[in-house]
Amino acid sequence: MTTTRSKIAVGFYFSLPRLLNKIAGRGSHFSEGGFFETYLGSLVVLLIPYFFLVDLVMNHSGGWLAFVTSIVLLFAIWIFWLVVLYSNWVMIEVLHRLGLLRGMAERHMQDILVGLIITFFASELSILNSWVRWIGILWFMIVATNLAAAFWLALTEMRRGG
Amino acid sequence: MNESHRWTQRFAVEAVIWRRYVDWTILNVPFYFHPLLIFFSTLLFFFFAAAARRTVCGHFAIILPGSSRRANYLRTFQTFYNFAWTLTDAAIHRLLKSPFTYEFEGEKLLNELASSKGAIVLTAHMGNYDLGAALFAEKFQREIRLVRAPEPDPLAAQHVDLSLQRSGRGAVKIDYNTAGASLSLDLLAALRSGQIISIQGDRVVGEVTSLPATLFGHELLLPNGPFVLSRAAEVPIYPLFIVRRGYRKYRIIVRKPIICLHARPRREDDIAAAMQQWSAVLEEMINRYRAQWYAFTPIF
Repeated sequence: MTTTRSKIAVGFYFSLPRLLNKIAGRGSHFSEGGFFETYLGSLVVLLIPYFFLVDLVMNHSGGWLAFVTSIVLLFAIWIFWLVVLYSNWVMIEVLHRLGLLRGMAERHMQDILVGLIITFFASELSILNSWVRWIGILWFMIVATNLAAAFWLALTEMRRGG
Repeated sequence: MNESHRWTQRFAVEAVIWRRYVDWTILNVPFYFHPLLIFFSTLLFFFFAAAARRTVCGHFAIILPGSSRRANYLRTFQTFYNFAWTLTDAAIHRLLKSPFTYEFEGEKLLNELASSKGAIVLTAHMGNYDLGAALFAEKFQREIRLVRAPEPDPLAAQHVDLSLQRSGRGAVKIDYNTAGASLSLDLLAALRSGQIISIQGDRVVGEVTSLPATLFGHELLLPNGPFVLSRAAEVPIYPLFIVRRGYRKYRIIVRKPIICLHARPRREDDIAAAMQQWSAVLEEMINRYRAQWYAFTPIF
């Protein structure tokens, strides 16, 4: 017989789902690594740069070459992120050694840099003349609402504290 | 040793560099990159770890007679993918102390094991066996001795030792099953003094003593050490497995204890009977969670 024993409290990392959770009466519990955010986040960091590169490359190739290129690009995105994440980490280490932002974990500082890179790709997507521009626009909407939610959460926390 | 050989060793599948890469990722990369990095890293290992790929694929051909080669390659990929997740989860548990969800199958037996005065936990290279030991020690506040096969790479072995000690918060002690007779006597004394020992019983490595058993209709050698110890110390053997059920979700499965008694005139017959029970449990578990049996070296 199977018994479920330990359950993780429902919580989110990003401000928008935390605020929605709070509105639903379940609190704004902070938790890193929930299923929904992990997989959705992975899709975002894969697909936004991918659509950007596909658009960039596909204008110059067609047929089988386009198919092969679209597969190769997936691997290129992986290598790209490895290089970016490592470079970011080196930069963060330098900042930490200089005594700057020491209180912040490396992976959380990476968020800011990753967010900027994704926003750059999304801005390029949003000006394209095809359906993928909606992905770029959607990203901007998500970023805006997430920032608003972060502001709102901070404000309500401050009010409660003060 | 020439430069190219050194380079190959540094990046070999079992080298410590990959374990350090996992640790680095957990500490320095946002969590939402994990699925992406795990998927592509699995692809990389699937293509480059040819020996392990062929071995796992060969095992599937035995476990599922008549299965197609193509389907078995897909199952092999799934096994590699699951293995990557278990390594990541173990590192997350150790480095970030993040919570996981657990289910129990045979919870009564697990409580019985935790309160027992001397017992052997018999497990396999399945699911997240290292995490299992740490969790057990944490949940029941009991020390557990883990007997494992040595890692081929000395630096990787050192990394595994430290990792297990850290994740078990000092309650997990590691022994390697190469130490010979002195280790057997040491383990026997530990069992008699009421300790719990965890042994992996699905693979014979090096000079470990073994006896023939049957698995999926094939004769193979399985280690007989746990059964010899159980009979000598008169302690039960609890088959225990910790399998991955989803994202940060595990199932701990405990089966009825195997009692290796002085029931027959010949010691070998007692041991053979107990080993037969173990191979039946092992076969059932491999059948249920076949893509989580991490047998990367030939078993059959």
